[in-house]
Amino acid sequence: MIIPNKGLRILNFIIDLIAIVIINGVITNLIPLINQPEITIYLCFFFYYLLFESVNGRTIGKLITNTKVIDRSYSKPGFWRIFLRTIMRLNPFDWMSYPFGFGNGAHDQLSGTKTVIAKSQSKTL
Amino acid sequence: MTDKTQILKTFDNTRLMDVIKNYRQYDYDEETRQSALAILQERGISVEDLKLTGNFENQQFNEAEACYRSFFKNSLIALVFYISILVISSLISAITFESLLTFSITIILSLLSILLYMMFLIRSFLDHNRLYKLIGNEYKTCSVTIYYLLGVPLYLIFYFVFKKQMYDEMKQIR
Repeated sequence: MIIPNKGLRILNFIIDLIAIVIINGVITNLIPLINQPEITIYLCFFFYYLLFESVNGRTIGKLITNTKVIDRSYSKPGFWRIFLRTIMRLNPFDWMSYPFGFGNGAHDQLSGTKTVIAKSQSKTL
Repeated sequence: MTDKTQILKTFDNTRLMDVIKNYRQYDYDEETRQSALAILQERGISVEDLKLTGNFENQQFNEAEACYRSFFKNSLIALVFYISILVISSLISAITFESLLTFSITIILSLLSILLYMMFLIRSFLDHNRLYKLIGNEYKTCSVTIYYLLGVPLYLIFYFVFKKQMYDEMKQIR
């Protein structure tokens, strides 16, 4: 299993962030009643990661960078593990775990998951 | 007769009405407002007249003040949880947990703090946006989404910036 470098993790995050902003824009424009960006943006953020990662362990960013989420037994994490991982993403200091020495982010460590490069690419590397 | 009253007597009716309606924005005290009221009454304008013409109180300012107070309360609670998350996160990264129980308790505390932080953060952002809508300075959805996402990690900065910004905006209400 190859752990992606920090650059790849940042790229994942940026791609996912763009996707979340687009989804939030579509939702708030299609349903004018939900014109509360203060709430919808966090709901989009939460459900985007929860749904994508619990369904196939990959978000749009991870699909593009060919990475995926696995648990300690190297298999696809269960729903509650992804749920915990997603809540931990909302920790305002989660991003600080990257520059200060963790191989993975704090949300990976605390939920017992990790992001790795998916097989097809790790074979070629 | 005080100096203040002397100065107020030189004002025309419109200016006195402005003093009565917006005395808090001008940082005048209640006494100054009462003096202005007394002068207007001497000139034949009663409190009832002022109420009927909407010059007795600034309703928009009252609503904005309620928003600001609510923001102040919610953002302070959010800040407390922000600090508690910082403490818990530092503990998690610095301490090696020997027992599963201590680790589980820390995780549960961390989860609770994060959820409560998010709840009060959203409430403070709602108050912030409500005040801006009230003064007709509404945000556009797309431009603020990144701003709200940045608000989660950078809340300590946002807290002080928003507080000052909202107070200054409130002072502009006429």
